[in-house]
Amino acid sequence: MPKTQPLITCTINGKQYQVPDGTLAIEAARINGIEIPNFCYEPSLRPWGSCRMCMIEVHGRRGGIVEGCSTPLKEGMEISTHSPACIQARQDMMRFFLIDHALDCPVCDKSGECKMQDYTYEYNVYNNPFRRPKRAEEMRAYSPLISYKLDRCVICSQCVRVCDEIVGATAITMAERGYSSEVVPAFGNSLADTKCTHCGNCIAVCPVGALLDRNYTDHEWKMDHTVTTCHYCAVGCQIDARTISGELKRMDGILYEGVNKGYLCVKGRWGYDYAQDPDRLKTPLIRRGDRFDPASWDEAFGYIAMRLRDYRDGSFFGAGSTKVTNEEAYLFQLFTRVVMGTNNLDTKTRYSQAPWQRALTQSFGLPASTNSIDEIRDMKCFLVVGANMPETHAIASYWVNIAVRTHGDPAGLIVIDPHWNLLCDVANVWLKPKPGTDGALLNGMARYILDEGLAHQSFIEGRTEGFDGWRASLDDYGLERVAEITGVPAEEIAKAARLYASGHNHRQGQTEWGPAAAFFGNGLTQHIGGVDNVLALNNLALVTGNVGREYAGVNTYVGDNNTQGASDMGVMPNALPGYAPVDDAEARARFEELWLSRWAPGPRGAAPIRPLPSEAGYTLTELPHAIESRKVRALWVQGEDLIDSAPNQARMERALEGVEFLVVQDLFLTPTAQLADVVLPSSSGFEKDGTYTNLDRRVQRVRRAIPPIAGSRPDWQILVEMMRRLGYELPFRHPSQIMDEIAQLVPDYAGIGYRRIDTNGLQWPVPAADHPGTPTLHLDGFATPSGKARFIPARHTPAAEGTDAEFPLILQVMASLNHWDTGERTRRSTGPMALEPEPAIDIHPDDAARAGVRDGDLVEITSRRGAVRVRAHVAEATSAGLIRMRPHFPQAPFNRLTSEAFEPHTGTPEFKFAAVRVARAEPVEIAAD
Amino acid sequence: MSDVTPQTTGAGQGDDWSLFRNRQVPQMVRLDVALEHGAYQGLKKALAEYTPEQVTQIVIDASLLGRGGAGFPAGRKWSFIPKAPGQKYLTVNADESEPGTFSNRELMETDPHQLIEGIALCCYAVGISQAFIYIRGEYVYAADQLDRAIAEARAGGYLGPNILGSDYSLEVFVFRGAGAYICGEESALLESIEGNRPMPRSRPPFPAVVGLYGRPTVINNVETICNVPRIVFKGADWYKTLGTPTSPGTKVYSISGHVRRPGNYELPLGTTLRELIYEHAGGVPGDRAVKAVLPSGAAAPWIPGDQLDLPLDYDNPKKVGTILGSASVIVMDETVSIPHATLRLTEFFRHESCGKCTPCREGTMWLEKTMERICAGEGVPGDLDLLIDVCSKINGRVLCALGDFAVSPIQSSLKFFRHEYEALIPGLAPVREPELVAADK
Ligand SMILES: Cc1cc2nc3c(=O)[nH]c(=O)nc-3n(C[C@H](O)[C@H](O)[C@H](O)COP(=O)(O)O)c2cc1C
Ligand code: SF4
Ligand code: SF4
Ligand code: SF4
Ligand code: FES
Repeated sequence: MPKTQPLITCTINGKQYQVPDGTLAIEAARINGIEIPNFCYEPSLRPWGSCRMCMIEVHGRRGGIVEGCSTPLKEGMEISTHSPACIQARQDMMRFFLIDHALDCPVCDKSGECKMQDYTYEYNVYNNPFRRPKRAEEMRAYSPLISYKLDRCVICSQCVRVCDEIVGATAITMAERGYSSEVVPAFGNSLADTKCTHCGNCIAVCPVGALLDRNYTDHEWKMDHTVTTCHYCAVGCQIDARTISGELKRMDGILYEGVNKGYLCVKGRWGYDYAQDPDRLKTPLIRRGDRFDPASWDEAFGYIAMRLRDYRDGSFFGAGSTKVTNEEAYLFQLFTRVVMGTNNLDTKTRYSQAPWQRALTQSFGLPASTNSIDEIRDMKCFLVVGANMPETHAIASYWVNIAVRTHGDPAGLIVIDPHWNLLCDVANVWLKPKPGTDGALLNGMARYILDEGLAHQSFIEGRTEGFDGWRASLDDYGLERVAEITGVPAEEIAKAARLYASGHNHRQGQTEWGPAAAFFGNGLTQHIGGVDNVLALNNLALVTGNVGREYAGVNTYVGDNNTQGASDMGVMPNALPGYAPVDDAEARARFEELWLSRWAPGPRGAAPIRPLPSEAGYTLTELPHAIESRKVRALWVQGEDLIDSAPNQARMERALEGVEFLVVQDLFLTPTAQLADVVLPSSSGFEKDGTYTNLDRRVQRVRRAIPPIAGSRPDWQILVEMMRRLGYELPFRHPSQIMDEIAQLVPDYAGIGYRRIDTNGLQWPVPAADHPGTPTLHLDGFATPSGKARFIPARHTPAAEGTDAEFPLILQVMASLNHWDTGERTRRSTGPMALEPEPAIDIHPDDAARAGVRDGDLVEITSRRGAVRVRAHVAEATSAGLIRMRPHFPQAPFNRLTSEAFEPHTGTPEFKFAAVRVARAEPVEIAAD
Repeated sequence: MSDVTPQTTGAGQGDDWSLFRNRQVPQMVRLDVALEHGAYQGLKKALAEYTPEQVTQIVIDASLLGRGGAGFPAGRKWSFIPKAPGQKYLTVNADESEPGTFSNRELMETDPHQLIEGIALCCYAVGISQAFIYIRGEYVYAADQLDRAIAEARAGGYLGPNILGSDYSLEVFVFRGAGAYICGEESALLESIEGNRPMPRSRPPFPAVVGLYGRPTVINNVETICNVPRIVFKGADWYKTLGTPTSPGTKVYSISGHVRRPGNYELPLGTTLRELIYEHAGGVPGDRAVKAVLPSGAAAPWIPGDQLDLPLDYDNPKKVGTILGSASVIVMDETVSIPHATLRLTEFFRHESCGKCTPCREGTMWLEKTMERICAGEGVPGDLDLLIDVCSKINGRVLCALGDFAVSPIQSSLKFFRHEYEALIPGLAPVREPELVAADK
């Protein structure tokens, strides 16, 4: 945990400064606006000290020329950063570098943002007296995305260190030694043979043009920069969207900034060019029979307004999005509730997050992760369960990796996952329970902790309720039985339980245990026992006192860029913005006062609806049934592809065909959009202003980097206009005004406004304009009525279906590293497609051998519901008996196979368990014309 | 050089103060044989009579200087280790990759229990429960001897849990090196054990604070540690009767090059170069004159042949601008072409530079290429100044001492033998007599 260092006074270049004791000279100078040249310094990495450009002069006794990047400042120290001796030392280094550095700036991508170029200029050294031609090296391609040019490399090892210390992939290394040193992929010629995740962070840290993005060729000085939030996962990285003349060119992190401190993952870095794909919809489309006619916006709005008037009787359903901005989510629920008069409103949150929202609310009082991403690096013990963080929420896994690999004081790590991921390689314990048994495993750990006297008694007594009832519920979860249910050896369970309970507190003489933090993902929630699984985890945190305390908590690492925000904005059938229950008349009245006052009088408007609907609406899971039974007759889909994501594809497709009136807003003509009556082209996240709320409740700015692709409109503008056409007038000219209204209505957002979050996001609750936000939840009490957290018995429910001789394997649907969601965006992005161009399943070598499947074969997977053809990767990353399938390609629809069983309280489908068999399929013959 | 015979007996042999006293005893690897010859007496005594702090104090009082090169007082190094509980390590540096060094090898091969006893004492003194011996990969036999000796010592209760019935426990592991000179540099050695590329770390922090796996770590040379048992057993005062007041004890001098009897000679510190060469190593073959001596393998500035009365201890060599280092003395007689010998050493450093820091990585290459062209007769008049200039840009600007070592052959040979370089450079060479030129044709 970070200790706050006392301040010391030191002298830099004759001026006195106060900095924390032990601050590195280079950092102390930077904070005070003095740049010390460097090639090998990176604040997130361990000090390295190789380039010798950062030489500073320490005055006084024992002084001299030393490295600024590894010299800690002490009280009274006096240094110079640009004295003649420093400058001489740097010029000497430049002479060494320039023996062979190509200085081919005109043809180098890095030109204009290259430290070599800057220092060559600054120190006025451009050649050396060494009589020999420079060596010239060819560009080498290390992967479809990454290339390397040795004669520009300064051997600073930043790339290698980032890949090792932060990403944890150890995919590249320094080969040879001395003057022959070079950066190469580990053990091979291509990064494809390594654990490379194609995060591109090696390129990002390269101070020169040695490692390069093969997709990009242009120069920095032509580019415009827009700081915005990434549009993929819920981590919410800050990115610099670089554009030239309104075209997206490159995505970069921003050193020191945001939750990602400059680092990105493959999707954030290379998954952007969908926004300018030729497939983008450019005009509204109106269905005439079985074809679409292009229409003007005016026509489209007029037509929709006319049709929607018939469905304001509760037969409308709004399928919202977890990808649009908070402001757009807010408008969408406003539209559905106030204009269309119904709570039939939901998002795909239903398919994965609803269980944890319910469980976290029940246990702790708020449907949100308890900790801040910034805390992770200083945490001392992790329990990562059912969360494939390195692939789905990579940045968080970087910070875990740093913590686990902290030199001299490593954090402990428990991974619970039947599938391998990068974190398994650095875990102290890796448990591989049978699918659907995580809840039992967590109960077993809790029981062991109680039996062994490792429980945190004072916490249980002071800050929780319901302990006795819960304790009794664990009678059935003795270690032996849990071992039997889960397939995990009893001693492994015990080891994990001990590690978690102790917080990996190996330091002797320490009397207090912990803290330990839990992270979970869809592996817990997408089961029929999803709610109970998360409750079991909550209970485990409570019994060890590991929540409501810094560096300890329960966190969810699932979801889209704005999953948290869409729920906060009330895009759900049972709650208004800020989770105010729809059946709470008092809460409704608060919203009605503002919302219902806006109906425009006059002929054009539809009859105002009042009051707000008070009954919970249908969920997305219930939607097909609601359509079949004609309870829902009109549907508006905001930027989601329901056909490719619903648990039963055929049924959803039939339902959408059967609905009377379907409007789809989207970037592309998705399978869902193809069934629409009206398709509205919306703008991507790069084309609009707004905010997203990430998984640590951080409300961050989204900024317009390019103008809307011709013909498209941002969703918020579409909704404002649509409502106006239906007689509901909104005064919004810019999304910031919408946020002001949200702040007025949602107490936890009360202190949020665009001005305050201009540079840094704020983490809700932000109850007032002068409140600094809340990085860690529940520190002073839980958000329950009593202020105490609740122990709630969590039952283990076996999966709805079982394997048998006919269907011997278990199919689990899991997002891939390279793609996102239904793949609509990543499949249209060069980077992800270069790496993963087609759908595939992972199958364990034993299962493959049994089925006669070889790596790369086309296979047919059959479940009790359907069959799908897909290519097989034979990989040990998957446990025997399991098939891992990626949900991103329409040509291999996972949802023809998945089970239709649901978690009973939330309707979340059991995507993590379908019994299947696999057989080799003959290649499909394509008739030659 | 038919009169050259490698030396395997001689000084120190059989003397009771010598590290090599059991050099001729067969089967010293066996615990029973070793015990017969006095092994583990120091450990028994320490466990029975001394607290850990007292053991450290004895070693401080004995002024035992590190034998690995830098000559840092071993006891003081141990006392830097934080007293707070928690994992700490000892790593014994047995990488011995300096050209001309071979003393550690013989110490380990002929008396492995002496090293193990020293390790046990050091770990007892510092509060360490895990020690590594980082041994040069090519030392297969020595590593096997150590493995065997460790197993026997453990079975005999001299290592492992509750040593000799005390509550002090220690495990010792032999770690075979990764095959580079730089692995012997202490922080690169730590990286190597951790499974990383052996590249030196930037300091501070020093290994005593952040060492192996980030924990406080003692690093000592084999010979340093081998000295500990007899110091503890016989006491600091006894130890100081050997050697000089500021460099007490003995040193194993590894002598090679142009001498009749190259080998390891253990002698009191302060023995002169002349005595070492002529009395022990049998003088120079053919009775040729000594042109220059490399006192510490490739690494230290040279001593010209007219300064053979220099006492070899930790102080006197500094007075003539060099260091004792590892005391691996290489003798070059008058037949040696200094520039060519220097080129050979420069090639060594270019080859062994780990490449981490800029001046050494680029500079050694630059020096080598310049030396190559001078030796090939293609030098230009400015080249000698260029060499000196490049050396000055490397020296003191590097991350580890290898870079500093790399410039010392060039700097010192240019200091003493500049004329030999000049003779190779067209334009600087003395103008030859016309008839000689004609005769050449
Ligand atoms: C390039 C280089 C190589 C070294 N090789 C060795 C070696 O092989 N053995 C050794 O004991 N010390 C070697 N050293 C010195 C060690 O860094 C370290 O100073 C020594 O092991 C400390 O032990 P001591 O205090 O017992 O002498 C080397 C140093 C450098 C810079
Ligand atoms: S792209 Fe990422 S994972 Fe791949 S080599 Fe670079 S840093 Fe490592
Ligand atoms: S490729 Fe770039 S980051 Fe990597 S060592 Fe070379 S200069 Fe440094
Ligand atoms: S001085 Fe040479 S050997 Fe030492 S760290 Fe620098 S490059 Fe490596
Ligand atoms: S930044 Fe200090 S040595 Fe590279």
